[in-house]
Amino acid sequence: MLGRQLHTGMIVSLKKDIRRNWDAYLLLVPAIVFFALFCYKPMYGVIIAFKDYSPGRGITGSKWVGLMEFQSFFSSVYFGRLLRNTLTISLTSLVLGFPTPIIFALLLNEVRHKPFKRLVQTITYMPHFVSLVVICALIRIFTAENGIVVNLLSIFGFEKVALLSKSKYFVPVYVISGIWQNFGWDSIIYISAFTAIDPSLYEAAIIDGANRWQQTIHVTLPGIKDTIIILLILRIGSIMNVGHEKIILLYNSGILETSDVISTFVYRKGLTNLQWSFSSAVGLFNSVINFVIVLLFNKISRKVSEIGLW
Amino acid sequence: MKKILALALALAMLVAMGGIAEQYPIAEGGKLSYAVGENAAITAISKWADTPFIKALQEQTGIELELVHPSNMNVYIASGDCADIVYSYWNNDYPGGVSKAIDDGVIADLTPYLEDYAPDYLAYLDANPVVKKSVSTSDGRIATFNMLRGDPELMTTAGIAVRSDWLEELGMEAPETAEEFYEMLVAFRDQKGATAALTLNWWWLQMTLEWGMLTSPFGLVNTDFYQVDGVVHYGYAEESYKQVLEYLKKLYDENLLDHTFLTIDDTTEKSNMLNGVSGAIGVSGGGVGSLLTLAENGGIEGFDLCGISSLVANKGEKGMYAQYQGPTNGGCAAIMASSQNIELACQFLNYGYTEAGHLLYNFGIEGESYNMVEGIPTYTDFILHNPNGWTVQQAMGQYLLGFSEGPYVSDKYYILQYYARPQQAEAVVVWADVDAADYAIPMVSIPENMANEFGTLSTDISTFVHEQLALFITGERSLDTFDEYLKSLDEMGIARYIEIKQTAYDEFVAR
Repeated sequence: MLGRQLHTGMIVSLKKDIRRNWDAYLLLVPAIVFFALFCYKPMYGVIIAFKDYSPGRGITGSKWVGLMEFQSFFSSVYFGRLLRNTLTISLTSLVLGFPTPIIFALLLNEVRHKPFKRLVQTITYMPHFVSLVVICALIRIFTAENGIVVNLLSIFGFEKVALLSKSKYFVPVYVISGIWQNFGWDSIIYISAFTAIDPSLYEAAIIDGANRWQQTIHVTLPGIKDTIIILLILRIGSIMNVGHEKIILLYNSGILETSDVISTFVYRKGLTNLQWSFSSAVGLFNSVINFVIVLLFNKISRKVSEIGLW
Repeated sequence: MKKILALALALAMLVAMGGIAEQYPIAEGGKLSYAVGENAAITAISKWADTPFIKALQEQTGIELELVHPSNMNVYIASGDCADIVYSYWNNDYPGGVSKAIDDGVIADLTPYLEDYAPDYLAYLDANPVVKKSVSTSDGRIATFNMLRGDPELMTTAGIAVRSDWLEELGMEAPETAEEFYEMLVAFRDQKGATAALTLNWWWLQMTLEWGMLTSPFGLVNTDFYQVDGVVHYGYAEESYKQVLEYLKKLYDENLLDHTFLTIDDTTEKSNMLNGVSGAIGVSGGGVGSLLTLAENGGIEGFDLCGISSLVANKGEKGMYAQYQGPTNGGCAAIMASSQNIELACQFLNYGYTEAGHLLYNFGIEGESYNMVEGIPTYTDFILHNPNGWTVQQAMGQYLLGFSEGPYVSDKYYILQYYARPQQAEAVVVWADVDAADYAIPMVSIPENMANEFGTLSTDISTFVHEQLALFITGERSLDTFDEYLKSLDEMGIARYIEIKQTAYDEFVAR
């Protein structure tokens, strides 16, 4: 919104804006305080990534070791594999999982029967609320040798084997179950974005003789373009963050080739050796990569579409 | 004159007595705060502070206790604001272990206090030099009151159990050698219709190797760290490991080993045993009991289990290793350096190692939770067959600490009676019948300057060997590439890994 204002030349001075909209700014204050206290202030603690942190000595009392923890991470025999798996899982989830809620929202938008629409919406966003542990237990049961998924697949000629015992099936199981769990919830924001599209644009399109498909392509999609781009940039900003919880609940030593990611490796290392500094170093590495990628994509996005996070 | 002499004599006697053992209840009394994780068996019934056990403990020691139950011990310790006494796995929960915790000024070095304030603990340690070494740091300092296992029956509580009723039916005896075990599984498969004769989940499969239950026939003690005449070995890197893998692969290929071992869960394993899908399982003593109970409740006729000892090369030999846990498990109480009551805390913690304290911690209160029957403390019906329907652990939770951890020496009569069924105690005795003590490496602490390197090597090597184990057994990786496997281990630094452990072990032995 601020961007648009700047665009059309209506540059408003901050002081004037505060005086005019003081109540809006007041609402902002608790959020600012929250971020300052709980997000920015603790950032100073990231220096333990460069120290040999020991809880007894505290942050200031622990000695500097520079890049030792980073070296320890990069020189691990598994570093390459971990990075590859992290990016594979993340990008696959992105490429398959990002469009799905959009397509689903568009399809749902075409449904005329309101009660049916509401029913479908409710059913599809229920899985989002189910605990991850329960979801993973279900996945393990369904993908077992005699599980329902394997039985169904064997009709199409797939081998009857527990999917989670073979490296090649891990990424599909992980990504597809993730999409199933979240596409309903993720589609909500797009459905609400539809309501922001000016109905007169639809009327104009109908007058010009556009059918439903053409209306979707030429009115709906461009209408939510901004939302899509912003969400995409945000999503890309967490590309290195493949969480360990779901993977730990699903993996085993036999399929580490495709399932061991940076966070699970750090988790295991933490168990053997309580490495506060090591995990901070890896976390910092992840954050730096994420940040650089977000900057890059924001720049590209601004160049291509004039939309960006900032 | 006479009065003064009498008084002086009495005082002298008192002083002399005080030098031999601590006297309880402690005359001056006092207040101490004690932090330990919560135990579900206790909290199911009441708060620990309200139990008859804690009341008796306070009475008998003369000290008022304030109990704290942090939900996350690592964070609690790091927060700095701790109770006088903190019970935890200090070597694991504090990076760098006990030694670093002392150097960082977090816990107090108790070595100078033990003689005066914890004589019973010191006496026990002096009488058991291996134990004393296990609880000391590499430079000989003592800063913890450890949970100790006083008898061998307490040190091995898990192993392989098989359907003894099937053995009887088939006219077979409990297998001792690898061939006999194989033949038993074949008989289970062919004559009893067991489609997964030996069922093990992934963790258990690793444990049968790391605890040497299946490795002795091939000349391998176990696949983890062990020592032979003071030389440290790592089983996963030994040549003889290949034969172990060949044996396991044979079991897998001939459908004797459960194919779903990578993904199977505990419940399915148990149901396999109950439904006759399997005839052998890796389980703890408690697990034997729960299987027998489930079979009873499910009306499975004749279902019976027996434990089998670690497999050996030739009949009559003794296995080299088992699930041997040694006299210490790492759980210990440390006194925070910031405490104002270090001497008092020592005196309090010493109580567990006295005769009276031993009985209280292990058996509870005489007349209520145990009675002396022919000199053996015997749990009462309140504990073993609780009228309120509480489990044995829950009932114990009110009166004693034997089922859980604390600063005391565990007594074998606890475990022998804890097991409700004779098969459990028999299984434990069978599993413990090995020479593990000759090969075991005690809990040695890695020297601080090598800890980081060791940690990195440990994660990488551990990931590697476990992954390759799975791939070798399932056939995804051919055993013909075993030499390359050894080469990979070389490149990952296995020699250095073993070297560091050897250094730690040598330091331990030298103390």
